[in-house]
Parts: sequence; C-alpha cells; structure tokens
Amino acid sequence: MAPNLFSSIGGKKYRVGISLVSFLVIMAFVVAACGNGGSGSQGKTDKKHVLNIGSHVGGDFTSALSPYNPTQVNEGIQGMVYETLLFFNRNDGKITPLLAADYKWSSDEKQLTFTTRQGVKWSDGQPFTAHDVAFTFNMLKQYPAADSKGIWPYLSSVNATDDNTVVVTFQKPNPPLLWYIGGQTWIVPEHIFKNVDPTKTQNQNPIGTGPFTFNKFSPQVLVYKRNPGYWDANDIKVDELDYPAVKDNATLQLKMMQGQIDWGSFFAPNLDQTFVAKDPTHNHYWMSPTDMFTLYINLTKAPFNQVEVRQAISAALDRSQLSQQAESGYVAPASTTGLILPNGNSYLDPTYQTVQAKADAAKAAQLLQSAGYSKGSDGIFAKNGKELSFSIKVVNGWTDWETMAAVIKQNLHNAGINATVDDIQDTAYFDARNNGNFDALIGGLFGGPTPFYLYDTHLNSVNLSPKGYNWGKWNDSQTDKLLQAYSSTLDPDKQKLAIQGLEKIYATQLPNIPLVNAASWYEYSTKNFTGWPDKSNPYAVGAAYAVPDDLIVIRHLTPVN
Amino acid sequence: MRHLFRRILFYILAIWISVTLNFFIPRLAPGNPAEAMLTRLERRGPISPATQKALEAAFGVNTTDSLWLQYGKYLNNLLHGNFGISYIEYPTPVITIIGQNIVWTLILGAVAVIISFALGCLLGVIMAWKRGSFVDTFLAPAMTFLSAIPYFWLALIILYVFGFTLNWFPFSDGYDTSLDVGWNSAFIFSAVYHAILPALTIVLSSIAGWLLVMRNTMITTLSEDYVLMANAKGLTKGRVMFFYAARNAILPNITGFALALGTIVGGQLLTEIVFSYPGIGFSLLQAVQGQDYPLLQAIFLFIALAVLGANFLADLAFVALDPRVRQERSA
Amino acid sequence: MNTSSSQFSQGSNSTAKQIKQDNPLTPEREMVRALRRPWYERAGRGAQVVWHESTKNKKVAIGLIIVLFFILVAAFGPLFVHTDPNLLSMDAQAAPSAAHPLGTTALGQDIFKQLVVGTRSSIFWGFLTGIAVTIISILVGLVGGYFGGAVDEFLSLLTNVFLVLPALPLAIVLASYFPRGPQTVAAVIIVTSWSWGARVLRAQTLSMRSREFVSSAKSNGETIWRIIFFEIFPNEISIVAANFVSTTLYVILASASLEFLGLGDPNGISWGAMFYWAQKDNALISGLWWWFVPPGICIAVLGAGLSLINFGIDEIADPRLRQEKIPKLVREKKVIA
Repeated sequence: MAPNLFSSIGGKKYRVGISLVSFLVIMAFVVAACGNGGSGSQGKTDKKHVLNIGSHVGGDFTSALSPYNPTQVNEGIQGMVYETLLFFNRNDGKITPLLAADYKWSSDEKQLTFTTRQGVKWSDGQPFTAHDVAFTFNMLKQYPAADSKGIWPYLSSVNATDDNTVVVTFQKPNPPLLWYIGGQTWIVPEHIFKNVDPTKTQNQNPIGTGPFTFNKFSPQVLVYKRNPGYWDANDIKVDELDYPAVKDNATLQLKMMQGQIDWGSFFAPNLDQTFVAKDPTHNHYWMSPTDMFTLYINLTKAPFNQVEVRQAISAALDRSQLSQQAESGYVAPASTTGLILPNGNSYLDPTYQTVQAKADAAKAAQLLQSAGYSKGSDGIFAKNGKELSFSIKVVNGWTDWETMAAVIKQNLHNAGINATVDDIQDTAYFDARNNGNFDALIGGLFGGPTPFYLYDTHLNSVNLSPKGYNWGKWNDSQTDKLLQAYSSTLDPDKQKLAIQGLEKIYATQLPNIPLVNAASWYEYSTKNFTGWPDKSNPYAVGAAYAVPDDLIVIRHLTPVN
Repeated sequence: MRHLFRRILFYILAIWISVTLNFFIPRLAPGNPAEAMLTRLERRGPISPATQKALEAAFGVNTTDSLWLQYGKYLNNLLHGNFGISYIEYPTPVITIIGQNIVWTLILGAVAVIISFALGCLLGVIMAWKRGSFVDTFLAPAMTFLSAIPYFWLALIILYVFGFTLNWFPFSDGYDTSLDVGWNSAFIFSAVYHAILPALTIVLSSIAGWLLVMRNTMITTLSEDYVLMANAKGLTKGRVMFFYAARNAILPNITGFALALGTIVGGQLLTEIVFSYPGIGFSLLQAVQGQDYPLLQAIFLFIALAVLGANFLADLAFVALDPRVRQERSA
Repeated sequence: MNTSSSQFSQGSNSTAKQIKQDNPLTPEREMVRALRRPWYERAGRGAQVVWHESTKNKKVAIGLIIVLFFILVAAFGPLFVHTDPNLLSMDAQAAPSAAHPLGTTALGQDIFKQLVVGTRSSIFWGFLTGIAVTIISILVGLVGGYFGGAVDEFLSLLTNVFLVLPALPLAIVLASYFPRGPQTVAAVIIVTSWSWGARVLRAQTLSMRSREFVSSAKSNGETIWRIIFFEIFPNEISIVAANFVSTTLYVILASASLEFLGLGDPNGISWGAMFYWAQKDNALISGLWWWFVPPGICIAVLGAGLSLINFGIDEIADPRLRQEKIPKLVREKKVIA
C-alpha cells in the first residue's frame, strides 16, 4: 500500500508542476490582454457621461436604500433620489427652493406654510403633492428613530391643507428649526412608505423625485441612471453616477490621481504635492470650512473651571502650526468667538476680528500667574504643589486629530503646561466624551447655515451631555438667554445682536478652546466635468457626502466634450 | 479508533473555545456597537439621542438579558447555523457578507499558496542538488532576507512600484467593478489581473519557508543509502533527483502545506488590507473596528474551522504516510 | 519505504519546522556519554559547544554580528539623541541631508533619530516578548512532558487548542479592545504564540524522561523540579535556543504588523509606529521613501540575522547540513555522472 501512496504523491507533484507552468503562461497572456483592454477602456468616447464619485470609504455597500436607515444610508440616496423642500447653503446661509416653491412664516412665527412645487412626479409616474410632504413629517412622528434631527419635540402638527400647501405648526416659535425641516428632511412618497417602518425597510426599489433613479446594486459599486422625468430635467447633464466602494483614503487618492474618480471627499495630507501637482489644470480641491475642531475641557473639574487656566491654554496654542501640520493648511486657524470664518463674517463683532494664530507663551504665563500658579524647577507651572497637568483624549486612527494632539502637547509644554495624549478607540472616546470622563479631548463643533446652530448644539444647557452635544458641560444662563433671543425672532438685526453676545461669551469665557476650522473634504477633477463649486463660486458645500449639496452640485455640472 | 475519537473531541473543544473567546473579548471593550456606528455617522453632523436608541434597538444591544443568557442564545443560534445580522453593514445577514468575501480570499490564497509551495519545493530541490553552486550560495541568503521582510511593507512597496508608478497592474479591488460578476471571460481576466500583485506578495513572503525546509530535508535525503544506490545504478540525474530524493524529502513539507491551506482564510489579512482586496481579512478588520459582534464571531468561526480542517487533513496525511506515527501519538 | 523514513521518524510533530528542531544536538553516542555528567558540567559543555560552533559556523557568526549590532544601537544609540525624536518642526518632508541623515517626516520629525530611538523600543519589546514566550513554552512543555498523566493531558490540550487558534486575527481582536501600548502588543503576542515551543519541548521531554540519567537522578532522591530544570532542561538548550530565535523573529514581525494597523501606541517611537505614520501620512504617494524604507530594511536585516542564527543552529544540530560535507557529496555525484 505504501509504495502506491508514494507514487501517487510523486505524480501529484508533477501535475502541480505542470499546472503551475501552464498557469504562469496563462497569466502572461492575461496580463497582455488586460493591458490592451485597459488602455482601450480609458478613452471612453461613447456619448454617455458617467460621473465617478468616491465618497464611500470603508466596507462594501449594503442594500440600505431607505433615506431613513439609521445605520448608514447609501451614497446618492439622499439628494440624488430623494429631495428636500429647501436647500440651505452653509457657505453663505442662502436658501434655494427645491420641492417647496415657496415658504412663509406666520406673524407670530408659530406657523410655517410651504407651497409645494407643481408638476413634480415620483419616478414611478405618480404625482408628487403636499400630502406626501405631510405624510413624511407625520411618519417621523410615528417613528422617532427616523427623526434623527429631533424636530418633533418642537412641533405640534403638520397638515396638508390642499394638494399644494403644507402647514407646520410649532409649540412655540423656533425659526432656526427651518433648516432641519426644510433642508434636512427627505420627502418620501406616501404610496410606497404608507405601511412600512422607514428605518427598517430595505426599500429595494427606491422611488423619489430626484434627478437620478437607482439602477444597479453590487457590494462594490452603486449605479444611478438619469431620471428623464425630473422636474428640472434640462439642468441635468450627467447621464450616470457610479459610486465605487473604496476601502481606504489612500486607495481613493490613488484612484483619483489616475483619473478613475472625478469627485472625491477624503482627507489626505499634502494634496498640493500629491494630487494637484500631478495635473494642475484638472486636479483641484476646495476645503470649505463648515465646522470647527476644538479642545473640549471638562468644566466641572479643577483647574479647568478657572477661566484664566482656559485662557492660558488658548494663548499657548500655535493655531497656525495646527493648521499647517495637522490639516496641511487646508483650513484656517479658528476664531475663539466660535464663528466659522469667513462664512460667519457678517455676524462678526469687530472687537474680535483678529484670530490669535501664533502662540503667546508670555501671555499664558501671565494668566497662569494671575490664577495663582508659579513655575516649578522643571519648567512646569504648579499651584499648591500640584503641577498643571492633564490628558487629552483623541480617537485612535483619526490621524489629523492625533497630529493635533501632538502639536498641542508640544505647544503647552513650551508654555509650562504638561499635557499627555491618550489615544483611544473610537467607542472608548465616545463613552468618555458623552459621560464626561475626561480632562480634555479634541472634538468637533458642528456648524450650520448660520452661526446659531453651533452655539445652540454645543453650549445650550438643554443639550448638556450625555443627552446632547454640550460635552464640556457649559451651563450658563446668559448663554441660554441669548440663544433663546435668537431662536424666537426672525428679525436679522436682533439675531445678529444675539450672536454677537454669544461671541463675546465664547471669546472671554472659552467654554472650549477652538483650534482650527474643519472642512468638508472635497477634491475634484475638471477633466470630464466642469461647473464644480469652488472658492469663487461657493454655491454649495463640495463634499460628495454633503447632502443635499450633492444634488445642487450635480445640477451645475456640465460634461467636457 | 480511540485516537480518532480523541481528535474529534479536541476539535469540538477548540471550536468552542475559539467561539467563546470571540463572544466575550469584544464585549469587554468599552462602548457598544451603536456608539461605534454613531461616531461614524457623526462626521456628517449632530444626531439626536433618538437615533442612538434606534440603533441600539436595531442591534439588540439594549437587551436586559445577562451576558450568560446572551451567550447561551448565541451558542444556540450558532448550532442552528444562524449567524445573525451584521451591524456595520446593517441589515445584511452575516452569512451573505462572508459568502461574498470568502470566495475571493480562498481563490487568491489557494493559488498563491500552491504557487509558493510548488516553486519553493522545486527551487529547494535544485538548491540541494546543486549544493555549493552559485544558485545555492546566492539564493539561500537572499531567501533568508526575503522571509524576514515585513509582509505588509513588501506589499506596499510592490503596490506603489508596480501598481501605481509603473501602472502595470491594478492596485485595488478584486476585479474591474464596472464589469458584472459572472462566468464571462472579461470578468475572469479582470479578476486574475487584479490578483497578480497580491498573489505575488504572498508568494514572495512565503516561498522562503518551503524552499529552505525542502533544501535541508533534501540534503539529508541525498545522503541516504537508497539515493546513493540509485545513483550507483546509473539512473538519470533527473530521475534520481525527483523520483528518489525529492519525493521522500517533500513529505514534511506536505503536512506543512496542508496546514498552510488552513491559514489562508485568516493569514492574508494584511495583503487584503494593503491591496483593498475584497476578502475575509478586510472584513475582519472592519468588524473589529465597528464592534460588529455577529460578523466578528462568524468570521472567527470560519477561520477556526479552516484551521481545524487543515489540521485534520495534516493528521490524515501524516497517519497515511507514516503508520508509526499512530503508535507514537497515542503514547 | 523504511529506509526513506529516517528523517521524519520524529513524526509526532506535524510540521516540518518542528522536525528540524527535533534533531539532537550532537550525535547519539556523544549524547549518551554527555548525559552521564552532572548538570552544570553538561550545561557548561553545551555552552562551550555552542560558542565553538558559533564562531566556526559562518552563518551563526554573521547572524550574531547583525543581532549584536542592533542590540548595541538599542542600548547606546538613544544616548546620542538629545532631542525628542517626535519633536515637530517646520522643516517637513526634507530629503536626506547632512542635517537629517534620513530626512524628515511630513511633520518635520527627524527620521534618523526616530529610527535610532525606535530601535530601542522594538528590540527591547521584541526580545522581552521572545523571552517571555520561551519561558512559558519551557514551563508548559517540560512540566507536561515530564509529569505525563492528567497534568500532561490538560497542558497538551491547552497547547493544542492555542496552536489552532488563528494567531494574527486573534491578536488583532485582543489588541483592539485593550488600551493601546507596547505592553498590550507584547501580551497579545505572548498569548497567541507560546504554544509552538511548548509542543516541541513537550515531545522532547517525553522522549527524555525515561532515559537512564533521569532515573538515576530520581533514585538519588533529587527533587522533581531539580530533575526537570537541571537534569532535563540543559539537554534541550539547542531546541530552546532555536525556538527563542525564531520566536523573536516572529514577535518582531507580528508587533510591527499590529503597530502598522494602528494597534500599538501611535505616540510611542518604534519601527512599527513609524510604519503607521508613514502610511497614514501618505509617505509613498508623496515620494517620501526615506520615511517608509528604513524601518523595513532594519526589520528585514535584523530578521535575516536571526534566521541565519537559526539555520546555523540547525546545521550544528544536524551535521549533514553542514557545508563541510559538500566535497564528499559532490565527488560522489561526479563519479556517478
């Protein structure tokens, strides 16, 4: 028996060898064939204008095609397929009508009336009416999980009074809520969503009003086709949208550099050299500042409850270094007023015009001395024998934050403050942040169409963590009063006054310490399409993941012939 | 018989331990999958607390069941082949994700391991036969160096040089995603074309092991009496080399080969990550980062099954090849 | 068939790697003679043999020189680096020059300094982890092999289970959920890699416990621990050494992989952390090869040094592999051809 076994193995080895050789030969042919095929498909000369969008970084796509899926909504569903009533440009605060032709506030600001656009059809041919709008809002009431912006706590009812009119009634005046109601609520067809939970339905065949219809699903790519029945079909010059699933930012960048992707939304350091320089006529980026990065400090803990300490930390920071080294200079140093500049320029109190970009260690020292600290022999400030020392939490793998933490640590050390960096996993960070278990952490401040949203989200005592995003636990009646003043009026002058009051509180009290602006990452190539938003024409936020800005961008694009 | 019974018992125990570890370890970590998802969603703007509750409900992590009860349910589900729904790719069933990815991993891994094994053994035989020649003196240190290069580093350099700079091969994906998956020549060509660089990396980093073991066993075999005898009989060089020496010297490598097949599923993780290759390894990393318990557990079960299956094969091979093993084993 | 099977007669091990380690240090005759001597003499003689062979064997000599070089850099290199290697500066992305022998990172950190200081951490943790893994392998392997019975049943079950647990995936899962740092990486690698050595040593001990010198030690009334660690253990030094060397190589590669994936301490300074940052800051796309290549070369050279030592040990253990025998073989071949 044994000899047979051996010879059979010997035979197998030979066969393996032979098949190996033939495999290599086949490979050689394949490589040659593909080389030809590759160069052939590069010069796509057919009339179809396909836009390749790289906004999905991570794993494969799932068939999550409901705009209200709580986990993740597939790229293009919001905006390209489902539309909102209005579009808010976060760059300048301007409002453009979409599915609503017009809107009007009642004089007591408790009623908001939308007039819906006429002649709009769902992509299955059914007419779109005000009843669909009312249905959508009432659906959010029925399924609070879908109400991710939390609008219903402020509303009392939403009714369609006729086919073209929807009336939204508020419990008390709250005009800023218009952004969430008009600009962030995806209108869905009543006849499809009537009997389903919008957060659970897979919505395999999405029916929307948008300029594109869903065409093909695969875990690696989503394909959308132009909707010929779109209410503004003439403005749509793109025939097909392809959203490939890209596994990481580096791969996305390589694909963009090779022209496989026209529209990208990713952070990568040093784009000037690695991306723009490769094809300066076509490759561009524009990082429009929409949010802010800040250093949250735990205001419930000593010594951070001392305003001088917060001011000293702020004075010690070299914000231009943060901007250059952590964000490759894409975004400017942040204003300590909490205003995202230049977008918020019209609200800016002239007193706070200058942004402190460079470190001022002398000022920091002076502030610390006035707070009762003195410099120890090791160069670190101490009070009652206790060194001024704290840890900064950041999310592991978010490299711009990790770099910021390193810069801050170095800046603070130069000013006699000892900081350590605590690099933790995202969920640990989330836990620590929401439950106030931190000395300091790097975090985001979310902006909006006006400066109000940032202040309201992060400073309002209603939004104290863990319930809301006031993670530093800023609890100040003056702040609340000013926020209340803004949100109960439509008068721009009164609103501006309230914002300037908030600026003053921010700049002098420093509820947290703004670092640099945060951008919506946006890279694009003008090789195949032109008409992109940029600094000179900021008609929308450019990031492909910004919704419904993606819809506005697509309406502006023209293919290059 | 007793030996077989013990082995089976051992396999069951190993699977149970593996499955149990992967139930408890991720749950000891701070935070929960809903929070992991929220941190991801947050990059687009603030999210109301209601969404977190909805996510927790969807994922079933808001349960009041004790950890032990959850563990019991989990084991029960596994026994019924119910792997649950993935969190990071909610609401796709875990089994679908694994089904999509494991094919890529298996084909890439199998092809690479076979090439590496065949080439390694062949070169090993040649090196042993031409002992002290240029091939031997040059290849042995070169291979030593090659085997010590960090795997992912080699992959990145290969990707950068051949994929990006020279643009000879694609640097990401398993196939040209504009093609439809199926048994058509365009897709198959595309898939092979995309697999070349990752396969090359795996071959380069694993070939040294086969080669050096083969060389050493071959050298010891060459001094055996029956090889000298075959030489003396005046058999052709090739015949002696392959049919007398190599076929015996290859035996230790064959068991190694069986084991290597088992590590395919879990072993090419870094290659898959570097080349953005669809596969189990990449999914595993995603699942770890997203605290996707169901996906993580299922992937681990599959990896463990593959390793155990390969072990079983290796066992069988060994018993078949050398009956004396059986006696020693039970000792 | 019978004649052909001599090289895999130590068949209780299922991989080729173990088989080569199972070969006795010296030919059987010498071994038996050697085993009669007291333990210290045997250990001393073992060391002598190792030293003699090391300096005689070219592979071991080169390997030792390489490893020694890295150990010296790890021990004394950081003393010559006076500033924090992670210090940021505005002199970013500089190519190698006199001021920065290996250039600077995207954040203006000096790569040469990082490499030198990183060597300390990588070598220290690499060898420490290697030692820890080896110690656990020795304890489990020797205790299990010597005692037999229920203890052995349990220990070899444990060993076998850990042997089939997929090491890298398990390490990734473990490392992700514990606080980041070199300690975690080390602990994770220890947990996932001690079983190889334990299995080899158990087999070796098993074959040794019925030898004459063990029973004579028993009848002399020596304690069990003394027998295990002073009678049996010295005879397994070559296996332990080979195991230690290959484990250390594995540890260095595995920890670099984990750190590359971001599971180490990104604020620490080590070769793996350099990979992590180089990758995250797009070193290759930006053309900063001087950032990405040096740590890889260091690991590869150190790894090659360790492998050379290991091959050398193999050659010492199995005289047939030695280069000196070539002429005879070649002559034979020539005669036949």
